[in-house]
Amino acid sequence: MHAPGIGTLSGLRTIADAAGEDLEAAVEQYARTVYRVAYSVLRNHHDAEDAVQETFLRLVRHQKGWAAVRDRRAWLARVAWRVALDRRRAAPQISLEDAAGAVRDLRAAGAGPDEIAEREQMSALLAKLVATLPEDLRNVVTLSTVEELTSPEIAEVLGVPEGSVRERLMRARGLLKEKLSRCLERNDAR
Amino acid sequence: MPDERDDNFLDELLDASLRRYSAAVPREGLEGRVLAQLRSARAAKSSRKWAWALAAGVAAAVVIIAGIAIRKPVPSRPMTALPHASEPQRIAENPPAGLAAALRTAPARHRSRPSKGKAQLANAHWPEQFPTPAPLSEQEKLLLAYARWMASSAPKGPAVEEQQDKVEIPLLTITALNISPLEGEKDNPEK
Repeated sequence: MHAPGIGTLSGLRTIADAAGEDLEAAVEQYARTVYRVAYSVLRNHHDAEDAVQETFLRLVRHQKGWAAVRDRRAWLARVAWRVALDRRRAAPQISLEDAAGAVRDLRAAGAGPDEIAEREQMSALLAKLVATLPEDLRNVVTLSTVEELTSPEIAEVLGVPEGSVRERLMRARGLLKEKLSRCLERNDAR
Repeated sequence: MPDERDDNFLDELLDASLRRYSAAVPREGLEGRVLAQLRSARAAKSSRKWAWALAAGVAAAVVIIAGIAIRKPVPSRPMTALPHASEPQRIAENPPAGLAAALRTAPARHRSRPSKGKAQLANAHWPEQFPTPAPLSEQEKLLLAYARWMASSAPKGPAVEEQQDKVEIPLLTITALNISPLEGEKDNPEK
């Protein structure tokens, strides 16, 4: 049997060790999801990694409540989302016209949808089109691109009902398609 | 037909682009970098906590010690008579009847507590003789022996005086001056 002081100390160490292990497990398990959430907003690897660091530092600060969090991935995604929104900077350097022209040229050259989608110009074009959406639709479509996140988790991140997420996603997708079509037609007319 | 093909193309392009939109791969070692920063942050947080606890403990100890030092009553030491009390002290302890009455009727004055140093002095053992007697040194013993020898070998004072009285002193005789004049003055005494 331990003396009371030794028992208390070892108990505290056990709690601290458990908290540390819990934290490390969270990093191992969710760091990439957090990174993708941040990247979906920031569109930049360096900024996204900074947002990941900031997200987990916030977790350390609120470590006491971590054990009570039910959906940890959604909790971290929400923190990362807010951190990324706070850090969001100017749009990418490629202009909408240049990006649309490049996509148009690729299509004319016979490139398939997958091939075009891999190009940086298409990614920039899509980012510009997403940025033109209304905020509620933009948030939903941005989070839906993070493949790990399900509709209920997106709903928890945004604090809206799950049905709203699906409905907004449909509307956002329709608007994006319409804008993309118009963009490519405009370039066709040139 | 071309419209339907365009529509399908746009759907496929949009789906593929959205799939890749956030499918970013972080640089190698993301988890390690995050963990390293978290460990350093936690260590800094822990050291800050210990520093605050230490500072609070020291502050509490200082307050407690100060409180005890201020509120602790100093026990009054009874005045103890010295083994060889001097005359003023003896009078102060056993004043004559008139003085005692005057002291009783005098207005009460603030009596300062005897300081610790004074109390120690009062309780100290005072030697009979100052400086404390010590055995003579070798040189002092030699000096003392010489002085004794000189005292025993030297003639007694009164005998010397008697001898001096017996010595005859010849009487002093004073003859008249006889000065002869110079030769020039003999010839012309007017000059």
